[in-house]
Amino acid sequence: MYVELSAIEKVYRMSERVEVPALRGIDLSVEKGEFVALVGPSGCGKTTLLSVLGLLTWPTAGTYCLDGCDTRSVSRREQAGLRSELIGFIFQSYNLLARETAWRNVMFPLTFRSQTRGTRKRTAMEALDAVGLADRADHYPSQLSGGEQQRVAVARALVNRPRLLIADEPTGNLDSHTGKEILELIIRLAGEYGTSIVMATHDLTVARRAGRIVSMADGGVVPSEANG
Amino acid sequence: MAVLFRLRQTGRWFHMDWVYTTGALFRDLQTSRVRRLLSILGVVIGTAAVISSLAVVEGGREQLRAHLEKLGVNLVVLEDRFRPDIPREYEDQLKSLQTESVLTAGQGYGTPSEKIDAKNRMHEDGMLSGLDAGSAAVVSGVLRLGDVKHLRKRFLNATLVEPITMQWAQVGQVGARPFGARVEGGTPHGAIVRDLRVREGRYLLPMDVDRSEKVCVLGVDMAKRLLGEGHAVGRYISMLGSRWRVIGILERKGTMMRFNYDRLIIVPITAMHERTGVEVVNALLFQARDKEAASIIRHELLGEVMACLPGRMEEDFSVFSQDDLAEQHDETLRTFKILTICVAAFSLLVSGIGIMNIMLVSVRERTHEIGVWKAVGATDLDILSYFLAESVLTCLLGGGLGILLGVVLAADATGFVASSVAEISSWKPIFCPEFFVLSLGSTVVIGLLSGIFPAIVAARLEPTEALRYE
Repeated sequence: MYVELSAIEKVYRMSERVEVPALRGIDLSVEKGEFVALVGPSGCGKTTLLSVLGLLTWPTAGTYCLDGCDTRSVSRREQAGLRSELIGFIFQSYNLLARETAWRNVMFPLTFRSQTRGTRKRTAMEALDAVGLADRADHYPSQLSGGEQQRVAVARALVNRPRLLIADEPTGNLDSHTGKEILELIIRLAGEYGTSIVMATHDLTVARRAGRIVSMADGGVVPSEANG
Repeated sequence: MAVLFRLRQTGRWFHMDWVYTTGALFRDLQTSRVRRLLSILGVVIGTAAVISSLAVVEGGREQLRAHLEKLGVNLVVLEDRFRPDIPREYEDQLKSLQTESVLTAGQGYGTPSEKIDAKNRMHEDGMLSGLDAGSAAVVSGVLRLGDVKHLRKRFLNATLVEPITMQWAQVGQVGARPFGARVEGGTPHGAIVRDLRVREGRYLLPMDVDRSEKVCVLGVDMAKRLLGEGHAVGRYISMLGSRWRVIGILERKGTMMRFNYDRLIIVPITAMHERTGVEVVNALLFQARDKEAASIIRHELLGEVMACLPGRMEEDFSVFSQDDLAEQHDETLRTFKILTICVAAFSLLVSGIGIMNIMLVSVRERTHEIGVWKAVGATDLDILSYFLAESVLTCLLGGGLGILLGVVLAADATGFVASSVAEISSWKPIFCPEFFVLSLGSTVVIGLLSGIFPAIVAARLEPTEALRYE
């Protein structure tokens, strides 16, 4: 079991009195190389769950084991290290650095790793090549189409060969044709690298490509036949 | 587990590669340029003030050193500042002492309570260098030429002791409209003590003093005012009721010890006494053998003078040496320096608030980006140091501009300060390397101080919150 969540709760404290529960006792495990799709209505806690999985936020209660270690015992600095080494992110709105060129965007995660600069650049160019954008390396995000920007984002997410890819509506801003291309690209590359995918989506055609669909509602996982 | 173990083993606090980040940093510095420039204005002004004030003061000190050397070496001056209003009952008496056409500015010389025949008195004392004061009257309670003789014997560690009598008089070219001027009754060696040099003609000679010759030496400006641009030596001027032959013009000397030598008229002291009818010495110039002797004279002189003049108050006299002058001016310069540095420090501090403001704006604008940074593996310390670096670089930019401005300002400021420190007409600013180090160092400190809070705000952002921020 690569990722194991048990009884995860997340409560957002808006003020002293107002507390908004976002996750209520989530149990979820993801195998190595598995593709899990999270589906459910807006506000059901998909993004919060992804944040917990990506170590971007801390659960209020429950345990999260990643790569065999309990993340409760991990310091903020070590969390940053785990994000850098184990996790890749793809967002709905690409989240590229607007003032950097495509290849520097892809290289960015590598700058937090101890590698030589030559290796970094080569790795980044290879990753760009893998998503078919080698000829656009020197373009800025604003000079790229939405699909191309998301390809750059995919290259950035996978440049570190992460074990876990967190994707939050990666096709949400794209037309169906481009979305399908991106999805296939993600699945292909993740398969090559043996990366597990947890993807939140509204789109059932996207969800159907997943190995397992987890339905969420109101901060909890809805039991269904598919996930037994 | 393996990855976490490795992370704990290496334990790097910084994950960021600074070569990559520096590129990003310089691109970020180019954002919101106008706001950034406005916010560093205070740093620019503060640094400029520090640099220019330090350079001006340093230049001033150098100038002062040169100036004091020009004054003459190991000089000690005694000044009698006693200028009582002459009681009315004595005024007529005093007037009768003076020749009717003498136009003095109404300065008295103590109380002329006893009148002793000047000639007899001088012979009793044995006149210095055979001076013959002719018909000058003697008033009590003031220094006289006889006292000079005495002090000369008493202070053998002084190579020269020269008396001076100062007098305001109406002067003019013969037949022309007169104006007020300062006239000094002096001796030949008075030139040596103060390093006065003659540009044209000659200075006073012992002969002039012995015979109370009606001759005078003029400062450059005085010569020009009295006699115009043309040749002055050999011509005559009118003052103190008689005609005086110009025998020499001084080299330009400037202002020293509160009076301007370029506007001075120097006549033999005996001739002055004869014309004013009062034998009095207002000041004594001592040239000490060496620095040590100067200090001894400086401390013993007043006691000796008080012994000569019973009944006079010590407060009437002032004794000062070059060291005193140097100290006094150093004090003025130091005060100026402290003042400007306080202003500069205040301006830097205030500008620090401006920098903090723009840094907070910068953090807020890039909140989303900070989220991305954290998502791909930036540590809190990476973010912290990035924003600190941005703040320090912003300040350093201000510091650099400030130095440029300061160098320009220093030149103008010297003129301004020069007018507040008399006796120093103008000077060049001097820049020492440590000034630049100091001012840049202080801007770095301001950068760190004003950047630390925004940087902490940025570093503590929770990644999800940051990513959600639009």
